[in-house]
Amino acid sequence: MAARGLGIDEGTATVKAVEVEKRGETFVPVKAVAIAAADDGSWEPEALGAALKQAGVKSGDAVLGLTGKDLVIKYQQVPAVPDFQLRKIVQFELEEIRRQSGDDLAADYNVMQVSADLTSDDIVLLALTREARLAERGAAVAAAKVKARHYAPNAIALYHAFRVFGPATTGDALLVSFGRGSTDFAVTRDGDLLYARSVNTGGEILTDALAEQFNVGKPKAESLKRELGDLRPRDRRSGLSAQQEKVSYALEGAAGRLFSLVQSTLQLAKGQMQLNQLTVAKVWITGGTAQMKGLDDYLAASLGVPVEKFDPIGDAAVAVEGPAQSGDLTVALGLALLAADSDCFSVEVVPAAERRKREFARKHAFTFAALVLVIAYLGVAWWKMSGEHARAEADGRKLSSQKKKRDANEQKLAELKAARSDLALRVDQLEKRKAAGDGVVRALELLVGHLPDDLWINEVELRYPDASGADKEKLAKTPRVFVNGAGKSLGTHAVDESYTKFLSEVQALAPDAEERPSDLVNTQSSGRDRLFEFQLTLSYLAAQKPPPAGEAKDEAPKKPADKKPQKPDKKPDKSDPKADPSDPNAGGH
Amino acid sequence: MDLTDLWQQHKKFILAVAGALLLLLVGRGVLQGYFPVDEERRKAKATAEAMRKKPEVPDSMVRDLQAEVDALKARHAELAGAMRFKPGDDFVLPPGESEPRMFFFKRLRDLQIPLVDAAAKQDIRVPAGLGLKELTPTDPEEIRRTLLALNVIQDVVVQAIGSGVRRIDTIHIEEAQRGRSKSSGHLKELRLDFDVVGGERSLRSMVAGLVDGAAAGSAPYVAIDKARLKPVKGESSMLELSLSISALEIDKVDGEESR
Repeated sequence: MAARGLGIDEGTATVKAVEVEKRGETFVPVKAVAIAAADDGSWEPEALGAALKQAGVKSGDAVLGLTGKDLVIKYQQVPAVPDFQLRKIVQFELEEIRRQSGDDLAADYNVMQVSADLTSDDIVLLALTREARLAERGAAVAAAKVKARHYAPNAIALYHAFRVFGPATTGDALLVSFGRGSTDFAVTRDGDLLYARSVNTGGEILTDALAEQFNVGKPKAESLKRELGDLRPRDRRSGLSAQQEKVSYALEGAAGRLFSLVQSTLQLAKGQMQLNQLTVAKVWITGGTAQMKGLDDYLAASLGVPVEKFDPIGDAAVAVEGPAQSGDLTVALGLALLAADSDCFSVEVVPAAERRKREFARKHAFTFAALVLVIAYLGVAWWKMSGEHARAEADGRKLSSQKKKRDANEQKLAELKAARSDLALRVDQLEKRKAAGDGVVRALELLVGHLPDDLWINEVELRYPDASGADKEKLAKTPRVFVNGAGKSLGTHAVDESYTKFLSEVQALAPDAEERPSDLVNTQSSGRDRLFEFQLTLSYLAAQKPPPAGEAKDEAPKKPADKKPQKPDKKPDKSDPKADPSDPNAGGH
Repeated sequence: MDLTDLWQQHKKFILAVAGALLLLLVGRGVLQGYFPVDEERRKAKATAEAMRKKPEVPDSMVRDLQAEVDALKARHAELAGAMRFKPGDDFVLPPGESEPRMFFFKRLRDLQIPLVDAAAKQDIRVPAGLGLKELTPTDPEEIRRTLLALNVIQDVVVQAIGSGVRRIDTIHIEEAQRGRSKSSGHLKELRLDFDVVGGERSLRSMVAGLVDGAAAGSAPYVAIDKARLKPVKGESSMLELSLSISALEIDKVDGEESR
């Protein structure tokens, strides 16, 4: 969207509005509207609204001009201080002025662009107006469906219109906008604003002079001024009618007052701006009264410098819709520039309430921005952290669940190991107790059924010899049947042969034969008087089942490692210490 | 521009930024307190680390061990069912019996004389007191124990008579205190010692009868703890059998009831 701005200059004869638009690097006037004001200076807001609408003005708010009796411009010399101190100084000054005037005043200030020659202090331009007047004017433009953005001195608007649309100048130049009831001055130095001034005297003094001289009403006097008036120096006026001469003579006095205003302005500028020298090389005039025939020549002759008319609207060939000439709209153009370009040097006078509102917004803009940023950050952080937290919690729950299951498995395994160990011991104990009784019966059956006649039994005993090795403490004792016997040859064959045969028979027993021992240890010896003695250690404990598949080596509580049934014919070496050292009878005979 | 000027000029901005930073820190702190992501991650990491350090026990290992334990339970139940001493109804002190001693006397009277008489008729000598002490038990637990012993004595004596032994020299009931000391946590036993004299065949028959009778279910199971068979001096063909047998009271393991 192109930058555009609307400026409204409420003159006593006409209300002028100009809209500018930024095109490329510069601004151009696009709309120029004027409506006539009543004789008392009042105007119809609705008419202005309608005119703006009809012209196609797009801006909804405008900068309004301050001039004449509505404006007081003061210059104050202040040391170069930081902004906050300057603000305090100006505030103090403003309070003082308000106190003295007794009115509610709206004001704004700015440090002038050009430095003083005679002091290093800054010169501050202070613009004041009455609050009541602003309220009145604000209501009027509001009725025209335009919002008053702020009010600015017409003199500053004049400067900006010249800065943008006028020729480039060096040195000192004077810009004058002659209105009907007021005149605005802007002194520039090398293109920068040096001094601004408004006075509540304008072209009306010319009309008043004619009305007085010819004793006619103001409208008639206005008509005479426009139609017959000529302010060129007398030596350059030729061919005038007698009536024209009379009117021109009548105007010269009033024109002198306008010249005095210009002169006094230059004097004031030099004094108030602490200048060494002010040499105006050229004067530019604009406004309704500037159209007065010969005024430029009159001023040039009086001031001794060239005077030229300045008509930017006319130069831009923008049609003015309404009862005004293009030269009347220069100030409105400057106001439009102020509206369109916020970087312009300006003072922005607004009603106190509006100023407070703007001040509040300005002062707390950072706070609001920071607050918004913080809230936005916290919102994003909330969203992000809640997501991360949810994910972390889910991961944690998953891991905890896995760990719980592992712990449960571990605990279960420990419980099962303990149960297995306990049960294995119980079963082992019961198995052995059971094997004991069975063993006695089956051993007796073995001996009765298979012992040859030349061998006999001295003693059969069931007992639980002490275990040995690693299982000594944790396993039940294994019952064994100890048989002590002897033999003597009956003459048919050797007794040891009978014994060997007996052992062979035992070995040959079917694996499921009741009397077959699961373990047999044999010792034999020749005793006194060629008596053959033997000892058998029999075990009838059932063979152990192999452990379940997949059982860890260190997990299985081992059942008693009973000796595998030895072959009955395998006689243990008497000197072999491995031959059941726990058996007190082993190897001793 | 010194610091005071800087402060005065940019007071609002500095305060706004400082306030925003403070609010940011507080808000972030609150959020971190409300969503303790780091804490959750730390806990998860610790859990993962703990899991990494401990080797995993696979389900299959637990299942295998469970199967093994179940098999052992089944074997235990089988053995305990077969080996648990199941006294006859006459030898069990009824619950809530108001006169345990009278009950014991009655049982003793009903058993002692007929048993000794039956043996005498077969020319088998049996200790008249059946190994019981002179003083009758008074404590209900001792009465219960002695009743069990009477049950065992009856079974052994009947078996001895049936097997045709020559005599029973001694019957000895182990002291309760000694029996307790030998008992393990899950196994209580009442031990009795017998000295029996007879021929080889009769003694073998008696032992076989005690073992096989229990296996056949015709008599309660008694465990033979010790047996010693040796010739009797001065009595040709006579052997003396010193027998220690126990009545076992076996605790049930978990789940045995349902089996």
